[in-house]
Amino acid sequence: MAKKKLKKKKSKLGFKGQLLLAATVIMGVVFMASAVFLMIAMAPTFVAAISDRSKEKLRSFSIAFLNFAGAFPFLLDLVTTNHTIDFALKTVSQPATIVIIYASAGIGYLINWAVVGIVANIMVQKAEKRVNAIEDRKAALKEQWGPEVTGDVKLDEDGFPIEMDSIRPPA
Amino acid sequence: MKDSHTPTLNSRITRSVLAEKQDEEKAQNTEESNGKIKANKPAPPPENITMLGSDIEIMCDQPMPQYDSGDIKAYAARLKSGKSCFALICENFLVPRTFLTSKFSQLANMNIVRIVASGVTFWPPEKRQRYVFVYEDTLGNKILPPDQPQAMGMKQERLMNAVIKPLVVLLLELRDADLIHGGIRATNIYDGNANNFENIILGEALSAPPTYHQPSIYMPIEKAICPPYARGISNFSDDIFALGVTILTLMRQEDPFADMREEEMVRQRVEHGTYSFFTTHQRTTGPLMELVRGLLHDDWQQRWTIEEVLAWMDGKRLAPKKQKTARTKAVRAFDYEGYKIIRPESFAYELQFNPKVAKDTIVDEAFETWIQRSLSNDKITTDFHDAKHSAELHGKDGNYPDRLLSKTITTLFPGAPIIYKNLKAMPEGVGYLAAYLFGNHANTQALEEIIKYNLVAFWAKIAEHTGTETQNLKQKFESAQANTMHKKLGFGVEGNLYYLCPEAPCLSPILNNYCVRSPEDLLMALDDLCAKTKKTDGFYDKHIISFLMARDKKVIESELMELNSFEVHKSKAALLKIFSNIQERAGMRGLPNLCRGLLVYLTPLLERTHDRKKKEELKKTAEGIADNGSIPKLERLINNKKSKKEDKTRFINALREYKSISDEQAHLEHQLTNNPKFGFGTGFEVAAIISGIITALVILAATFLQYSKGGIF
Repeated sequence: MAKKKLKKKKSKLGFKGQLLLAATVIMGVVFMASAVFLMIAMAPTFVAAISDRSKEKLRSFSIAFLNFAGAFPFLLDLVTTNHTIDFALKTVSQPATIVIIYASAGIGYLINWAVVGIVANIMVQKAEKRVNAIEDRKAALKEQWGPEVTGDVKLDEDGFPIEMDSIRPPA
Repeated sequence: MKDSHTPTLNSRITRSVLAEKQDEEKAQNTEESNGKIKANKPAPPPENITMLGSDIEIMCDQPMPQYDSGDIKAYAARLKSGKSCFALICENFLVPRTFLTSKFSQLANMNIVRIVASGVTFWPPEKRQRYVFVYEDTLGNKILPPDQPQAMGMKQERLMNAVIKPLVVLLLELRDADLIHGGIRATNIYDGNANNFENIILGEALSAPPTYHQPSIYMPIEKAICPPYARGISNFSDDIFALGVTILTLMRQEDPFADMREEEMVRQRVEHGTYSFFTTHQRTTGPLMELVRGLLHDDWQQRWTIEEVLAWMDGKRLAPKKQKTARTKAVRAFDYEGYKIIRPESFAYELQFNPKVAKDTIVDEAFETWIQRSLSNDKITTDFHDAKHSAELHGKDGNYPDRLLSKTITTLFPGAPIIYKNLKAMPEGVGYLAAYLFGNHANTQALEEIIKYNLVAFWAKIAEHTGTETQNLKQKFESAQANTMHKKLGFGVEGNLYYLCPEAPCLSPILNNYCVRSPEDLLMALDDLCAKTKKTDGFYDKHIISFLMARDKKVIESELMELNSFEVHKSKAALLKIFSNIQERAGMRGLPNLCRGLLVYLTPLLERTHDRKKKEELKKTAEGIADNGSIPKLERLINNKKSKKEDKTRFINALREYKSISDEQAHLEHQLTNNPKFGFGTGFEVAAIISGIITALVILAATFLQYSKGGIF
């Protein structure tokens, strides 16, 4: 029941989201030609966004950026020369155009693949180094403060180990 | 009389010889280390000589049995000036009357033995400390040695001039000085090395509890029933009574009691009264008998005072005092253990001998009927009912018959000692009794019960009718009763020993070979013990703590709760504080042996520093302080609250850091092991940033080209 409620909440757009959607729809209607062009040109981004299951959708970002970079010169041409649906369809239906746009999306994918590989490797090495540094620090703490600093030993109010021989029977 | 060379008041020994020995050793070591050994250093005394202070030599191999005071043995002593003395070597458990030494030494009277000094000395024959009294050896011979028949046949006129007059003057001086001698008896009078008793001298009575050396015949009936060690603080009328018996003893031609058992003598005194008892057995007539009659009155209120004695000596005829009430007598005798008893006091006396029969008798209806009908004394009847009622207050447990018997004896014989189980003691003597029992390693259960059941309160209630002042006694024993309820250190039966007998030295088994009379003595004894036995544990027990509680509450009271703590480190810290208080307040010299022993004992405390480096530093500093023997410095170092707090704060921070980095480590290790996509998130972020930058550049370039050349395409 609680899960269902949570799902319901997640699927619901917030006020900001709703405002953005409304603005996009209005903009789409106003700039119909650009919208049609982008709908076709940004297809790899939509695919990447749908296939990226991560919450942050970071993978689709780099594809989206490069995809847009590929589409931008044609979009600029469309907007500045003949901003009609026909011209938009004509531009996007040219093989060279679509290859350039989709190839730039591919470059985005490649950048993503290569950078992630390199960065992840660096991160693993850094983490291993950190683990070693922690081990050293823990050893130093133990040497200075004794095994009770680990928190594994039962301590009294002053922080000293409670040992049975430190308790004596009543006089 | 007063010898200018004789050290008296000013030279009274207040410090133990042990302390001086150690001071000397220390001084010697310092001199040796400076390479300045004095050529004329005094040679140590031979083994058969022990020193009291630096002026008095006591010859351990020269006993002087003529001056023995009962069990207390006398030895020859001499002052540096050459004056002959004798020393009485006291026992710890027979608590000597040390508090009175100063007062006795101030007496100017020539007819009492002169005290030279007193204090603690090392007694070589037993290799332990003993308290000693040193007196001038001017006594001569006993006028009536104890091993001879107790009769002298002195003419009454001579007796009057040679013995009674000097003794009465002495008694007057004692009374004015608020002193009670407690040892006036024929066998304690000396001829003072003069012929014809021209200079009689009364012997000592300070070396044991009050009246300890007095045979029962010299004591009023109530105290005669009591063992000598439990008679307690005597009063002036006891001395007057003893004077009466002394006069009778010196007057008579032969000893009528030579073959009579002490028990039988007391029995007859209880039955007939002391004066009648004496006159029955000793036919003496003459003018002195009027004096003797006045002195030997069993009722202390009827007994003559010293002023009355003086008045009689001046020739005044004294009208007999009005007796308050006649002694109670039963109309019908009660058959008990072969005796036909008509006096309640006699019944009380007989009840002590066979407790089993006694207990059966007092619960029997016949006994109650005898009290009610034959004695016909409303007070005794009421008191007996009270006795039964109060004995039941603690329930009818196994001790009920003993309680009832004790209270019945008190009812029948007001003022008689408290008799409970195998113990007999006057209320003021309970403390001395405790010292005696502990000193002899005897069972103290019955003593504890006397206090626990507050038998003294009942005794006081009954005794009030005899005019005895009991308010202080009641308050004292109420506190003692509260003490028995606690089993903690400082309380219990040991606590009561020192509370009820403040003169008692510490009777702790730890201090068997020492005579510890003050907190300072305690530290010095422990220092010596540590030097000899390398002692590192067992610095206190119930006796030591109770002793300190009674002697110097200030040094211990604030630490008592911690001392009783179950946590060892707390009790050890408290002990350190107590010892520190004693040494600091008394300004004592260094006690390196005790300090070194304490250092080992206090290891758990030294371990209570979290920072290992600081702990090692602390230990080294502590060792340095221990070598100097300063317990206060050691205490300040170990119990330093500021550094402890700082150490704790830093430890808590370290604890938090350890936990935090442990969590981080666990997280990283988990990620590295179980997450194949570790670092991907960051990778995506970096890739997005790079892509974003490229896109921005492309947009800028495209825009620039579009507007600079008239279009990209």
